[in-house]
Amino acid sequence: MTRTELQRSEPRTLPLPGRTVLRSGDLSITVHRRSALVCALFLIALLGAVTAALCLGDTYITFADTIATLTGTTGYDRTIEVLRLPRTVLAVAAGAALGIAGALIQSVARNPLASPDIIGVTAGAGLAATFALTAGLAYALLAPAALTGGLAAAALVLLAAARGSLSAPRFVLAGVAVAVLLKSGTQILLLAADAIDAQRAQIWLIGTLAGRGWTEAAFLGAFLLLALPALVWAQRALDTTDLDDPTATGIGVRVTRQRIALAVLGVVLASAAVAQVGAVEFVALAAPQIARRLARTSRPPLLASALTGAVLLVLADWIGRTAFGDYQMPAGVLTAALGGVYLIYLLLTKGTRNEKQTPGPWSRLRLRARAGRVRDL
Amino acid sequence: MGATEIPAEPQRVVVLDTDKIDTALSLGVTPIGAARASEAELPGYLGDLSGVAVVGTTAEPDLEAIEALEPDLILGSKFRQEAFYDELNAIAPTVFTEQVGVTWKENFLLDGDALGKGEEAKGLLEAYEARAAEFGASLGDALATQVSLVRFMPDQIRYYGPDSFSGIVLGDVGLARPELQQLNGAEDRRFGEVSAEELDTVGGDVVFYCAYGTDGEAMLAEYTAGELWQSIPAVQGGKAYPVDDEIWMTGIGVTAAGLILDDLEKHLAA
Repeated sequence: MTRTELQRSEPRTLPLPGRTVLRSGDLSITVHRRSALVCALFLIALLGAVTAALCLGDTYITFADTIATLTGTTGYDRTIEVLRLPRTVLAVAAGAALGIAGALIQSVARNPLASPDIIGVTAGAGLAATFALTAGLAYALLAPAALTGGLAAAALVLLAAARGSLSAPRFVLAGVAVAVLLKSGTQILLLAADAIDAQRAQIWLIGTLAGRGWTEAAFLGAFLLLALPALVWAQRALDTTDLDDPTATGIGVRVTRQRIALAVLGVVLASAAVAQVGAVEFVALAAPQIARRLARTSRPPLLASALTGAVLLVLADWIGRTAFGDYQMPAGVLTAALGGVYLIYLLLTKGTRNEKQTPGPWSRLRLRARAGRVRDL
Repeated sequence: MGATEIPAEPQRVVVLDTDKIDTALSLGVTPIGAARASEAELPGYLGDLSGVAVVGTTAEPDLEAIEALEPDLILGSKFRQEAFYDELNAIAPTVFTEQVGVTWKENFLLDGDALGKGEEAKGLLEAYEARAAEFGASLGDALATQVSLVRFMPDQIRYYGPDSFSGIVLGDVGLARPELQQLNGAEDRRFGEVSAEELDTVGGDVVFYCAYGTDGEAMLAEYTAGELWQSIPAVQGGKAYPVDDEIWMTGIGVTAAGLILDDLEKHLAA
C-alpha cells in the first residue's frame, strides 16, 4: 500500500542536474540554469556596452540626456540619432547574427574552429566585395554582392561536403579548402587594384561599422526576425548534434538532413551579417566558445552566443571610434583583440574543470532517455 | 549625390581629401578641419596648418570630431567617402567630387563654387595655365626634354602618365615624356608599374622622383642606391631630382601645381 503511494507521488522524470523543469499541461521545458544566468549577465553587459556607445564619444552625453534624446528632442539629436545609435543597433544585430551563426556551424561541425571565417562564408563575401569595390561597381551593389558571394561560397562548401553524409570533418575540410582558394582570389584582386580602391577593400575585409546605419540594421533585423522560427527549431535540433552519427540515427534523427538544415541556417545568417558590416572575423568563432565555457554546456548555447557576439561587436566598435584619437580603428581589428584575449583567458583558467563537468554524449543520451520527451531551452 | 543647399559664404569648412586642402587654402579659406592621408600628416607645403583640426583619415573620417567642429560646409570625394555621405550631410551640407587627379581642374572649380569663390578659382586656374604656357614657350628647344616621373610606393614602383596630376602639369607646360610613360592605348593613363628589376627602363632625359610615406622612402633609399638606378643615363648625368611627394603626388591643386612649376623652372631652365 505504502509502496503504491510512493510510486504515484514519484515524478515521471528524473531530476536533471543543473536544470529546472517548467511544466504547463503536457508541455514541459527544461531550462539550463547556468545558461539562463549567463544570458542574464550578458544582457546586462550588452545594455552597459550600448549605454557606453551612446553616451561616450568625442562629445560626452550624460545618461539622462541620452534617454531624453531617444524619447524626445534635445541638442544631441544628431549625435545620438545619426552618428551613434544606427551603428550601435547594427553592431547588436550583426554581433548576434555572427554569434548564432558560429554556434550553429560549430555544433554541426562538432569543431570549435569551424566558424564562418574558416569555412568559406567570410572569404566568399570578401572576394565578392573586393571585386565590387575594385571593379567600380555602384556602392549600392556592395552589400548584395557580398551576400551573394558568402552564400555562393557556402553552397560550394556544402556541395563538396554533402556527398555522402556531410560528416563533420568533411565539412570543415571542404570549408578550409574553399576559403583558402577564395582568399587567394581576393589577394590577386587587391594587388591588381588601384591603391585607393584597394584601401577601401582592405577596410571592408577587416570589417567596420563606420558609415553604416539604419539601412543595414533594418536589413539584418528583418533577416533575424525571419530566421526566428528556424532558430527555435534549431535550438532543439542542436541537442543531437554532439551525438555520434549511429547513435543519433538510432534515436531517430535524420542526421544528414538535420545537419544540412542547421549548417544552411548558420551560413545564411553569417552571410547576411558579413554583407552588412564586412568580414569581421573572430566574433563568430569566439562568441560561441565564450558562451559555452561560461554556461558550461556541451555545445554552444544559441541565445548566450548571440548576446556574447553582440557585446563583442558593440564594444569593438565603440572602442575603435573613441580610443585612438583621430584614428578610427575598424571594429574588425578589435573584435579579434577583445574576443581573443578573453577566450585565451578562459582556456587558461577554466579549461580542465569545464571538460570534466560537461556530460559526454552518452550520459546526456541516458539523461534524455530517462527524462522522456523534455525540451531543452 | 543629389542637390545640396550650401551657404553663400561658408565660414567653417571641413575638407576630407588632400586636394581640397590645397583648394581651400589657394582660395584663402582656412579649413577648420581636414582629414589626413592614412600614411601621412597634413601637407607641409601649404604653410602653418596648426590651426586646422585633424578629423581622421581620408578613408575613415572621424564623424564625431567633424560634428564637434560645427562646420557649415564639408568637401569630400565620392570614391573615398561615399559610405559616409548620409552622416556627413546630416552634419553639414556636403559636396563630393567624383574623381581625383584626372579631373583636378574641374574639381577645383566645383569646390571653388561651393566655397563661394567661383570667380577667384577661375582666375587662379587661368593664371596657372598662363604661367605654365609661358614657361613652356621660354624653354624653346628644351621643351623636347623627356621628363620622367617615378614614385616609390611601399609595395611597388610607379611611373606617372599624362592623366596623373603632375603629368597634367607637365602637359600644360608642353614638355615631352618618355614613350613608356605616355601610356598610349592604356585605358587608365594615370600611372603604370615598373618592376624593380627593370627600373632602368623608366627612361627620360630628366627624372623627378619621390616616395609615398616612410615605407616608400625606405624603398627609395634602397633602390636609388642600387646598380639599376645608377645605370639610368639621366641619373649618371646628374639630372635626377628628388621632389616632394606632397606637392607632386598627393597635393593636387593650383598651389601644388604652381610649386611643381617652381621645381621645373629650377631644374629645366638653362
